[in-house]
Amino acid sequence: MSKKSISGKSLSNGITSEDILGKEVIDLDGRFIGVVEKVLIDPIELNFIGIEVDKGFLKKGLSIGKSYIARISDAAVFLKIKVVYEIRGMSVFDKIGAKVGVVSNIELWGEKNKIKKIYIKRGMLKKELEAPYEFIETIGQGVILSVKKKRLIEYNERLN
Amino acid sequence: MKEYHRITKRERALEDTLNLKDSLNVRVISNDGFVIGKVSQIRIHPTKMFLEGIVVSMGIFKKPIYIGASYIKRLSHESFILKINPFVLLKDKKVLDSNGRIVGKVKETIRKEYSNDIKEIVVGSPFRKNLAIEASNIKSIGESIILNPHYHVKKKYFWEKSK
Repeated sequence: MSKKSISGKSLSNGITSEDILGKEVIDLDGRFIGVVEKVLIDPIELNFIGIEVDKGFLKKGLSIGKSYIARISDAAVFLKIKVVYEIRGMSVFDKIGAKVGVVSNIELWGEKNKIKKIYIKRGMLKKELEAPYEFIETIGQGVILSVKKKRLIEYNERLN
Repeated sequence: MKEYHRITKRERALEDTLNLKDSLNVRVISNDGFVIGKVSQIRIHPTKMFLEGIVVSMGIFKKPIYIGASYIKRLSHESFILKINPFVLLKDKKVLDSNGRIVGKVKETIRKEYSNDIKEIVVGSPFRKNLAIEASNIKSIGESIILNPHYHVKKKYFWEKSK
């Protein structure tokens, strides 16, 4: 049976929330982030504003704004970005490759996907260090800093 | 530091050089920050006497890799940092088509001679014949490999004849 439409324009190109819900979310690096749990709509403007991602059992969910979504395909939602929250738990090495510790937390610029600083855990007894964005050289499967460990420790001593 | 007599012409001072003995067994880190193994040998050019490359041991069951000096970014007594992500790290990475569907996993990498430049990857998945995918069909390599939208993965099952 054909459906009636009172949309004012053709809706045939649109996709429904069911098409998005449950889809895998993949970041720029090809990393699986989670599955779409909710589709977010602005109640005033009535626009699609983003998605909420379920990252799995015991993990906190993540909201991703529309501007960070590259496209929605048949099987997945592709992001334009590498989700910075994913660096938690990564190993951190200094400029000469000495191990500094593990990323324990991150601070962002507002709600943007931009790192302000990272916190580095160095074991049970040593104090946590913080490294500002300027000290980060590479983020991939680990984090490489642009400074030596000694300089980072001095920077943290000055902060306290 | 112990004191030494110095006999040099244009060479650097002793304290500005690296003791190769201290650099053995240090970790080797890829450009992406992944620890790929430990330095097991440091190879020197026999006549020109510069660093030619390093041999990286990746564990008991894995083949060691010889990495040329041109692929090394930084070296210290703590680690050797590479300019590249060695091709061996591609093995077993997931391959996704442009729609995000899993095509399979990387079984083999075919390179241009001995360089780190990839010519093709061979992708395998259960019930499907291995697929050779040219490097030009790869959009990005990261946590997984994403293929270009213009590349259509041809379904080829094990009962089909190879052409």
